[in-house]
Amino acid sequence: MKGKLLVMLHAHLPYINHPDHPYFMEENWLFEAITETYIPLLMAFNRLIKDNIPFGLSMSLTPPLLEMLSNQTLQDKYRKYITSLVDLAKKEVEATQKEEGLKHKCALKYLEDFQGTLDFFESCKGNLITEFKKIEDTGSLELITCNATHGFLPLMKVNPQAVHAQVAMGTKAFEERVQEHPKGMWLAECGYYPGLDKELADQNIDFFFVDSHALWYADIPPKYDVYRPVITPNHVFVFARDPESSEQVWSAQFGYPGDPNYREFYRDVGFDRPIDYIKPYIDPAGNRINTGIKYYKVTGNVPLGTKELYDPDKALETAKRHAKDFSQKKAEQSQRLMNAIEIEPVITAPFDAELYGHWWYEGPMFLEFLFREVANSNTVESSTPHKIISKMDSVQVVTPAMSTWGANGYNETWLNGANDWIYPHIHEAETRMVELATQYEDATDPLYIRALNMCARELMLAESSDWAFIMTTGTTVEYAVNRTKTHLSRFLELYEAIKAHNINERALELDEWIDPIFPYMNYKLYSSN
Amino acid sequence: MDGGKTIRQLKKEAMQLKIKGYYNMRKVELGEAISRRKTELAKMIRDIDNMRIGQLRSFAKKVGLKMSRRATKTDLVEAISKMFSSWKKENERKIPGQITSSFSMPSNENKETKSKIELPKTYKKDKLVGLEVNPSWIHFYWDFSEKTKEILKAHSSLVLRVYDVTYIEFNGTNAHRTFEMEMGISTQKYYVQVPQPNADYIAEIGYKERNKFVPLLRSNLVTTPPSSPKLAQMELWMDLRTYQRFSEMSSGKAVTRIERLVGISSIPSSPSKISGRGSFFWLSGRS
Repeated sequence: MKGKLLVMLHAHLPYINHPDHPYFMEENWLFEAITETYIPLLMAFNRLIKDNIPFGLSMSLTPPLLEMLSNQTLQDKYRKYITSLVDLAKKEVEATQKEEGLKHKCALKYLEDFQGTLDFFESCKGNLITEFKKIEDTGSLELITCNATHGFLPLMKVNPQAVHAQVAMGTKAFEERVQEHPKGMWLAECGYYPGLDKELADQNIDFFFVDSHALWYADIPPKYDVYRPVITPNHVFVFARDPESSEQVWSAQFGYPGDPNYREFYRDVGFDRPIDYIKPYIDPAGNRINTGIKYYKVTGNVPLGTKELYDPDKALETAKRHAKDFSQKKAEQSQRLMNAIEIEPVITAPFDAELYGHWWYEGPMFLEFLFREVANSNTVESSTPHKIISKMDSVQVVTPAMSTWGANGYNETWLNGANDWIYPHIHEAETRMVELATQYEDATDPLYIRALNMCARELMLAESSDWAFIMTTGTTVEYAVNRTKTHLSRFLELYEAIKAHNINERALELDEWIDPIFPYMNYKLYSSN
Repeated sequence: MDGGKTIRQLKKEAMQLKIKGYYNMRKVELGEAISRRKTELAKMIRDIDNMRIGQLRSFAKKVGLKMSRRATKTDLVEAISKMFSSWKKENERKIPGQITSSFSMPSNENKETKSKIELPKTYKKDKLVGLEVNPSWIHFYWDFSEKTKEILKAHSSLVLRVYDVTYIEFNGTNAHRTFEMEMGISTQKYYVQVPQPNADYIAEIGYKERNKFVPLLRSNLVTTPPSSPKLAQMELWMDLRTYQRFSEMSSGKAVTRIERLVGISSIPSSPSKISGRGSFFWLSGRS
């Protein structure tokens, strides 16, 4: 008997693609995530496979992320981005020759890493999805999807057809881009409400994830707390988050990423170097941005100006130590649970993938070391959702409670004074989309079909939970407000044009070029017939 | 953005597009200036079907098309659209070509960060929508048709009634409990604190006439999420080999859970909160 550790990495970014701009600051989110998270994770998985280390985890690649990773223009922009970083690292190697030894050591490491990242990207011809799939083919990784544009379903359920379209398009997008049926679905923000399992079952989704209190406050108390999967009345398996794992990793006081030896996020040469020197590597409009080259460590609770220099070797040792610590904690927890429940416990540990690497720079290394440590344990092993499910003889039937993984566990992150203005518009657009799709269900005119599909795209883009989230957190709010308004107003324009039989093909063409998400969109998903 | 073109080709293109100062630009700058110019023009093309022939001529000139004086409106539209399609292709399939590591030209382009877009203030439809915020709060928003607005003209305030209808088929009068709030006539949304988690609520909005509540609209059913565990009872299980369901008496909790109490530091912008979600954004910019 061994406890099962199920690491679930939720890889997601909102759809940000501005083909009409040669440079767009927010597109850097994707480029930073590729450089610091996705490629480092792929490299870590490849090393584990090469060394014959058994490991298992699940990862969601959300449809907006899949769409961006497959987009040629964004791939080209990424090449330009990473090439520019290599160039900056070369300059840094030169510049740091006359500076502290640790800085120079770091600069050399950055140059090697960025060059490695560029080589990796080129060797797979920019197709990271295929690389993830190759890992999946070894059986160690299980890829899952997410609802279409990461729409927040608990606040969409007043329009059931819109929820249906999100779930169905989330399945379809994965099938198109990953070329396989997704077995599981990550619900945006872990947002679940009773009844949603029916939509998932209809799309042949076998499992999804919820936060702990979805089971704690379920209609019937779960016999094994959150430590065994349950099944919903519509026969979809549910994995619930283990609160201990999240806390061990992320606790403000005791969590790993705050260790003094780790890299400090907020000291970046983009802000530290003289403007004339750094100009070619920041926003062409002259705004300083994070470049990804950082020389300082967390140090402790001290002002940014007094941070000490980062030592990559020390950071690596620390990541190793933390992985060992976490692995031991999971082994102890497994033993404790096995004694209590007398059946193999399942410890589900879901995280935002981008926190590993982007925020916690050493995160991907930590994960690699963790899998190496766990592979040697007698009491716990890492696993994947399907491997766990396939070994079960019986399962408790439970209706999970309405819940999310947002602050305080419910909807307030996505519904508060900062963002409540969006819902009257989004709900109205959803109602109108259903009206259009139902009325034009049998449309044959290609122009109408294109316009209707474009309406569905604009609506889904407006529905992304990311915009409401950003409005709450207060960073880059204007961008989020603007995206919400832009998609809604494009929707309303198209709606009026279709109703008035006055579709402007050229305007439509422009919209199709600017928001090319889901070329395989099917507006009929919204039909109420 | 240069699609592997030589600097001479780029200069020629910039000249045709009437880009100021193209002659002194470096290759990268040319590429970016051309791409920006094309985007501007591409946006103008939306109105092409409504342009008069004079406007079309000057538009053609702007995009660097040489058209015969005898060209008709159709010729012009066709030529311009063709040009636009070829740009689009360039953009979609552009060969990475010579990757330059420099974005050196400072751009003043307006990235439309200040939103000028205005969404409708009303959709002129009767609608009262309730959304659960958490176990003890519900958000309501509403909108009125012209007809309803007419009725409300005679009144100075709105009245929102919230009914606890848990396990009830609500008929307007049989609620367990009824709550009432009065608010300004132009209010469009409200947050209401309700007494019970895991309960069903319905709201009505209307006005008061001689102390009698006159409802105008009724909301959807809102269920507040539960916030505490249910008592142990019969458990339902499924045999995964036979798909047979069976019941079992609950044997009580095998795992003792230590629950957390909410304390301070619930400030949403704190980057160290344990909630799993989304640090990416807060950390992307320096705030």
